[in-house]
Order: sequence, then structure tokens, then C-alpha cells
Amino acid sequence: MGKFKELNRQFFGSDLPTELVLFNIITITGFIGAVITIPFNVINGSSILLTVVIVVAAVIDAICIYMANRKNRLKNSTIAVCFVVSIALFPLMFFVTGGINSGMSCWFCMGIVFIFMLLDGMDFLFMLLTDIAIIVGCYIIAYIHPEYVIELPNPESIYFDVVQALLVSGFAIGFIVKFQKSVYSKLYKQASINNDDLLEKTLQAKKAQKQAQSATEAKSNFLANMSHEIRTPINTIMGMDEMILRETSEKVVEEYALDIKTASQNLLSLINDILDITKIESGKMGIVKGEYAFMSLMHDVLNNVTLRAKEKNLEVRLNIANDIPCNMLGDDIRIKQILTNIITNALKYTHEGYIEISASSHKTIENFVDLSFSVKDTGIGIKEEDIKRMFDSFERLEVSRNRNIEGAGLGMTITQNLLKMMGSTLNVESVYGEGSTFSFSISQEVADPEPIGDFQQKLNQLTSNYEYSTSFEAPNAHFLIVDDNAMNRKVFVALLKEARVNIDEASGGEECLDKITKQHYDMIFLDHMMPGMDGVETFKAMASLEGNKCLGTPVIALTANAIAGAKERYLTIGFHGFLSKPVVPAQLEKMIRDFLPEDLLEYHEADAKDEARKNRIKKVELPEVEGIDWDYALLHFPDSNMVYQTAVDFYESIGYEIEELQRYYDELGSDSSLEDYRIKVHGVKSMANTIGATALGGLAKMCEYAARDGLVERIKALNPILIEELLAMKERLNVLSSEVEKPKLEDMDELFALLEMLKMAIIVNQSEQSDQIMKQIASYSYDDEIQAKVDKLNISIVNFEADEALEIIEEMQK
Amino acid sequence: MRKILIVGDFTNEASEVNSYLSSNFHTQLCTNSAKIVKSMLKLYIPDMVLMDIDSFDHLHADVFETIQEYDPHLPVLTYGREKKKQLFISYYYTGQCKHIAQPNRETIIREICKEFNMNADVIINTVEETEKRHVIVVDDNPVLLRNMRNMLQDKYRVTLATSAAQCMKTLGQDKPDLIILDYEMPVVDGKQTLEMIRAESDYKDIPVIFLTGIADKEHVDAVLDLKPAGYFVKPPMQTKIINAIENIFLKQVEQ
Repeated sequence: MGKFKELNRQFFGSDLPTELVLFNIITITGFIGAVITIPFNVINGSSILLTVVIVVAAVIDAICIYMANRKNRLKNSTIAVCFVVSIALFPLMFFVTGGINSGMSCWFCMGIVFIFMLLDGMDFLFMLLTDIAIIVGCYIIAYIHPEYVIELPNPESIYFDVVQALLVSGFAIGFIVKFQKSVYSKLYKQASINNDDLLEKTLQAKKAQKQAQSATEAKSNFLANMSHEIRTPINTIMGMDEMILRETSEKVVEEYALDIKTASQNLLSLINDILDITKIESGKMGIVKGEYAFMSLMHDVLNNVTLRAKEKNLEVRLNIANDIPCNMLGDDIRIKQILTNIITNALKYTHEGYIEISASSHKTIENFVDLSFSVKDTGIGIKEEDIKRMFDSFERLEVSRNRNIEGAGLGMTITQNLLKMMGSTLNVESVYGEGSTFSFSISQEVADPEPIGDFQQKLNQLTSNYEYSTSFEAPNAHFLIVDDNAMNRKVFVALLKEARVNIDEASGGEECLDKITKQHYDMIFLDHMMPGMDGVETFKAMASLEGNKCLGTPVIALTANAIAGAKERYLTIGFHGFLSKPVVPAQLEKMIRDFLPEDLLEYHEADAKDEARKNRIKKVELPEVEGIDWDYALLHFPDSNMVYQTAVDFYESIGYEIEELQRYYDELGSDSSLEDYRIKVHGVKSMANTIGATALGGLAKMCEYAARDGLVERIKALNPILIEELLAMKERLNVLSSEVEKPKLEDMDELFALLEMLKMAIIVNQSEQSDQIMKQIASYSYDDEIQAKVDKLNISIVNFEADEALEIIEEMQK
Repeated sequence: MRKILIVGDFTNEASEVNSYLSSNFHTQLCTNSAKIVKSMLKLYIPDMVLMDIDSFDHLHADVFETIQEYDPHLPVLTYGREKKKQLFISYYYTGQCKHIAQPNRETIIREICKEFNMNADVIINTVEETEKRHVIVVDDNPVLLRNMRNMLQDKYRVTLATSAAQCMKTLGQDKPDLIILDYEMPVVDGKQTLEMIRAESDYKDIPVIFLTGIADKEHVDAVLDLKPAGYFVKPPMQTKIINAIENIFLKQVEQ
């Protein structure tokens, strides 16, 4: 047994190549077959020639097995075996052992299978064709010259030969198939295991990657937190300083306060620079494209720099081309930052003379222009060899000469990086001691090609506009400010002192939640970073708070954490707006004007352009409708909301009911139809009564009784009146349906999704949900063809015809 | 509540998974077609997608593709035969998809909670005692049906049927604790419907309340002969009808 196992392993082991195992199966089966055949042939008395051939073939076979297994000559052995068997052995056997009256058909068949199993490519084709030719040849020769064939001596030998050939070839083929199958299933299992391994490893790699990422994130979070920690006190300083500037009457104090203002602004811009540089390094800085007006961009830039130029007694010369498009697409915030950086830099290093700011544009391809800026100063200039070093972080040139000039040396690095991101670069030309020119050019898409015209005139106009609309009062408005820092709250309250707003303060999330259940506020300002419940958590809690009197109140996030994408994040959470700290009075005022309901605002100067956004939920009021007694309806409903809803349902179904009623009426005649009519009119009666249309209900009741008593004549008299009355009621109930023009739904994907939701609601029998989704679908208008289907769908939903509705949906989803 | 989009083949029956998830998560069912899934993702904005991949074939790779395109970080849990998972194995490499090998109430809830960092034991161990009782209302008048639903849905799970046929269909899908039946209906009236209900041994003990629009003695007697558990004249009042239903349920408990 052990030996057998050993042999099994040696010839058929799973570690051997598949081809070799196949070869072994076939040749060893053949060898055993031959060895068994020889004695039988002798017993049968077949010709000596055959025995000799078989012996020779068996010997060649054995040699081939040896060569293939021991000498690694698989391919040669395979071809040799195929050759010997199909060219010599089989034809000879055919003629010697009885031709067609023997088991040779099986052997030939097995020969073909061998070739299919063992050979590939040209070898395969060649051998196969040869074999076929030989086989066909053998049979043709035997047919034409039966005398060449040596018949087997007796019928027993024929039977014996056929059975023996059948079994040997059958077994050989069977083994091969079994083996192939086991190889296949092993491979499949292995593939599954490999897949799962790979899956696990991929996930592990992902995890490692995530860890690495979180480390980087930790760094930038640290910086963000730091910036928060530093901004909070600056907020207080700047806010309080602003109050001093507004309230003091002493000249000296005002001067001190102005110094504080300048210093804290510098500190703030330094922190912003550090934040920017970390953002650039961590790849978080991105260019966000948006439409901007060139005039307002320049206005903001100049606002920032002209004051400082005045302080230093420097002239600012403007040289802005008239043909610059008024609206363009690009990242205006970053362009502003670049310009401000360059100009303040020029201001810093210029002691006397002027600064000239030029801008021009020229059209490139299609919708794009190259927008060029240059800033020329009469400053100290830069040595040629220093220009390159200028763009390194924290590098400052000629430290000894410039030591009294403030700055961390980040401005130019940031500028250069930002320009790189926009596909541009900063050019510097300088004459040492005489002045420098910084210039750059960026490609911008044009949104509105109208030229800006005379720059100076437009600028003056814009400036006066700004001054107009800033002042307002809101003495009836109630605000809530939530911030854990008492100083911050104080600053906030002080900033709005002139607007005479009533402001309540809360020092944390819990207090805020408590306050909003007690009183309604018109606007809530919520700080993000607070101990305990932070701003975002508070905001989320507000949405689900019971007894919240401030649902729908605009909530503005306040944060000192001005890292990239912060604004978008707050808006996606659901905040109405976002203010970064320190709060800039102008931004705060703009926010209030945007979100505070118009009726609470009082302008010093009326601003007709400003449109307040109103987004209030309509309160349900039941309108006076002739023939409807709402009080009667209210007997059956707990609140007016339900009455309203039912009345709307009734209004929407009247058309259908009239149709049905008319149909039953037209069919009047037979007994059963009279009963159907009675039930229908009875339904109309109870519906009418439910919403308090008692007179209509009375009329329907008369019809019903007439039907019950079989008084067809009376029905004929009453029914037209009933239908007339129903139509009249429909007309009167028209006030319920607020026929505002429906917005058109362009996005068919949305309709698709809504239909799917409707389908699922119908399948799970959620009738309320399906009503609501249907209402949503019907609240849009569509192209005629789709509209018709939507209307049909609406009717089947109103009447709870589930199967019809599903059919229509199916059709629409195609 | 977290939003879960359940994708599968629901043409014949609603998902059982949905029924035990809906009490703890906001769920939405969705047919397993890429086009529909795409539009649904956009509108519903789920926090997770749960997919029954047993009904998938190789064409459904677009469903995976769609989800990946929409948001490669949106967690996707799948359940179904291992063979089906191997069919879509490449989508599991990204780490977006995870497979639940032996899906049942517990394993599915556990996997979901793991994704959402929630405590699964709390959800699994809550016995669903709080589940509302199921009431079917049968009336041929859609306005009255909606009216009844508005009045009852705070206290009960209400299913509506506009005909005896629909009533019997709903009965088979989801056995109710009580049926409210309109007496006057076309084709098959309330009396016949009641006979149909009582003829099935499974349903014969379900209490039935009749609603009728006619209050004369003759009618009332005819209705009472059927021995309903209760009886009301239209239009029904919310407090009264809820009281009556509660009394019926109370009596059931006492028995």
C-alpha cells in the first residue's frame, strides 16, 4: 500500500505540472492496457505480428514515460507517443485484429482524445490532421480491400476485444476528466483564498495609509488650533480697541488705540500667513473658481493699501486699462491676497516717492483673457543675486539694512506659490537703490465681457455705495450670541450697540438650548469651539429640540478656525452663514442684512436693492368658504391642520367623484346599478359632511334616500343639481389650492429617484409616505408628455390604486 | 437617525431587513438598477448603502461602479452568497465594500453599528415591545381613508385598503391586530368581506369594527347580527374610535 502511494505521488502528485500528470495518466493507462492485452492475444491466438507490435509499442511507451518523468523531455515524449500510437500501432492493430469487427473504434477515439489532451499549437493541428487521415485511410482501405484485414478467429474474440477496448479507453478518458475537474476546483478554491488574502492585505495597506494621513492631519489640526488660540485674544483686543476708537473723545487715547489697531492687524496677518504656508505645504490650499467683479476686487485691494500709503506719505498712482472685462471667473480671494502682498511689500520698502499699480488685459483664446498686473515702486531695490532667495520661506534680504521693517518673510513665498497654482509666476525687475517692478499675468475666463470703463469714476461710485448701505437699526430684533468667552460676547454686543439690537448672551450649548425654548430669536450666532457641547453639536441638538421656538431662525457660525474649506463645511452642516473671528463689523452687518427679516430692519438710508430672504412656514388658516361650516368639521378633527388637509383632499378628488357619479347615473336602470349609485352618492355625502359642507351633504343624502327607495325619477331630477353643486363647491374650494406657478423640474434624475421612493412606499404599504412623495412629485411641472403621466399617477395614488400606480412608474422609469 | 439606502430586488416582496432596521435607522429601499441607484444617491444622500447581492449578476457591476463614482468613501455593506462576492471582488479591494457572510438580524446590525461607531448591543437587545399595533382600514372612499389614517396613525400602524380584494391581499402580507371595515362598499360589501375574513382560520379571531353611514335601526341590526367587535356611524370621531380600539385590545389582554 505504501509503495502504491509512493508511485501515486511520483506520477500523479499534486506538485507535478498538470501536463505531465495528464501525460502519465494516458501513457500509463496505455501501458497497463498493452501489458494486459499481450497474454489475452496469445490466448486468443491472434497473429504474432500484433503481439510483436504491441510489445514494441509498450516498450516505446515505457521509454517515453521514463524520459518524460526522469529526463524532463515531456514534449518530445508526447509527440513520440502520439506518433507511435497513431501512425504505427493503431493502423497495424486495425488490420491485424479484425478491422471494423473489433474494438479498434474505441482505440482510434482514444487516440484523438490524446491529441486533444496532450498537444498544443501547430503540433496539435499537424498531429490531428495526420491522425484523421490515417484513421479515415484505414477504414477506406478496409472497405475497398476487405482481404487485407485479418479477421479475428471467432465471435468470442470479437466480443472480448470490443469490451476490453471499451473499458480501457473509457477508464482512461474518465480518469482524465476527473483529474481535470479536481485541478479546476482546487484552482478555484485557491483563487478564492488568494482573493480574500489580497483583500485583507489591501485593507491593511489602506489602514496604514490612513494612519499616515492622520499624522499629517494632526499637524495641521494643531496649527489650526493654535491659530484659534491666538485669534481669540486678538479678537478681544481688536474689538475692544474698536470700541475705544468709537467712544473716546481724547486725542491721545485715540492715537494709542490706533497703534493697537495697527499692531494687532499685523499680528493677525502674520498668523494668516503661517496658516497659509502650512496649507500650501500640506497641499490643502486650493484654487476655488467663482465669478467676481473686477471693480469690487480692486476696491477691496485699494481699501487695504491706500490708508497705509497715506500714512507713509506715498502717492498711489493707478493705471488701469478701460477694456478689462467687468466680470470674470477665478479665485478672487487669492488674487486679492497676491495683490495685497505685493503692494504692502512695496509700501514697506519704499520711503519716499510713489507706487504705481497697473492692470491690463488682452484676449487670448475664445473666452479667456490674460489679466496682467504690475506694481512699480521707488523703493530701495533688490540686488540681482538676491532675487532668487526672495522666494524662500522665512528668508529676508539684507537683514541688517532692513531690520526695522516688520514681517516674517512669508509674503513672497505665499505669493509665488499661489501664482504657481494659477499657472503663472512672479516677475521681478529691480535696480538696486532705485526701485523695483513686480508683475504677473494670469489667465481668466470671461463671465461678462462688458469693459469696466473709466476706473477712477467707477471706483468713486463704488465707494459711495458702500458707505450708503452700512448703517441700519433693528430695535425690534432679538439676537442670541453663544460663546464661552465672555470677552468675545462683550465685543459682539458692543459692535451692535449702534444698531440697537436686543442681544441675549449664552455661555455654552446647554444654556443656548435652554434659552431658545423660552424665547424666539431672530438670529443666533453660535461659536464653534466651546468646551462641553460645541457649536456644531448644539446646532444639531437644536434641530431635534422639543419646544424649540427658534426653528427656522438663521444660525450663523462663528469661528476662529479659518482653515481651508471651513466655510463650505459649515454650510453643508446646515448653518445659514459663517463669520470668521475676529468679527469684521462690515461683514457682520452684511450678514444681518442678508438674513434678518426685512420688517425688522430700519435703514437710515433706504436701500431698495436689498432683498431679504423670507422663508417662513405658512400658518394654517381656514379661509371663509361659502357652504362650508368649518366648526362642524372641527367637531371631528383634533386640529385645523387636519381639517385643511382633508378639505384639500376633497377638493382634489371632486373631479373624479363627479365622473364616477355620472357614470353610475348613466348606467341607472338595472337593480344592481341603483345600489351602486346609492353607495357612491352615500360616499359623497359622508365626505361632504366630514369637511362641514352640510348643505351639499344634505343634497347627497336626498339622492341616497331616493336610490334606496328606488325612486329613479327623483334621482333624475336631483342628480344634475348635485353635480352642479359639486362643481360649484370645487370652484369655491379653489382658494385652498395655492396655485403658484410650479417650478419646472429639469433634473430627470431627481424625478427618477422620487419615483423609486414612491414605488418602494407603495410596495411596503406606507400610504402616508406615498402621499407625501406624490405631493413632492406633483409640486413640479414637467414637459407635456411626462406631465400627463404624472397626472395619471397622481390620480391612481389619490385613489389607492397600487397596481396601476406601479405600472405607470415602471413605464416612466424605462 | 443615520440614513441607509437598501438596494436589492424588491419587486415581489419588501425586504425583511428593512423591517428590523427601520426602527433604529432611516431606511430607503431601492431597486438594484444602476440608473435608479444613481438618482437615488443624489436625492437621498445616504450615510451607508446596504446591498442584497444574491439577486445580482455580473451586469450589476455598474451598481458598484455608480456608488464608487458617487462617493468612494461611502460605506457599502453587502450580504448574500460568497460566490456573488467573488464576482465583484475588485470593489472590495478599495475598502469601500464589506461583506457580511452570514446575514441575520444580529450580524447586520452589528456591522452597521461598527461603521457608524454605535453601540450594537443596545439595539439588538431592545425587545420590540414598543412596536405599534397594526390596523387595516377598509373603505371605498379615499378621502375617508386618509382621514382615518390621520386620526389613527399616531397610535397605530395603519394600512389602508380600498376594496375587499386589497384588504385580503394586505391581510396575507401582514396580519393585522384589528380591522376597521366599511359596511357599504361596491362590488363586495362589508358583510361579504367579513365572511371572507372569518372563513380563513388564521384570521377568524381578528376583531373587526364596522363603520356605517346609515344609522337606522334596520341597518344597525343587520350589522350587529354579524357580531362585530365594535360599530360606528360615520363620520367617526377620533377620541371615540381610539377609545373603542383600546378597549378591544384591553379585553384581548385580559382573556
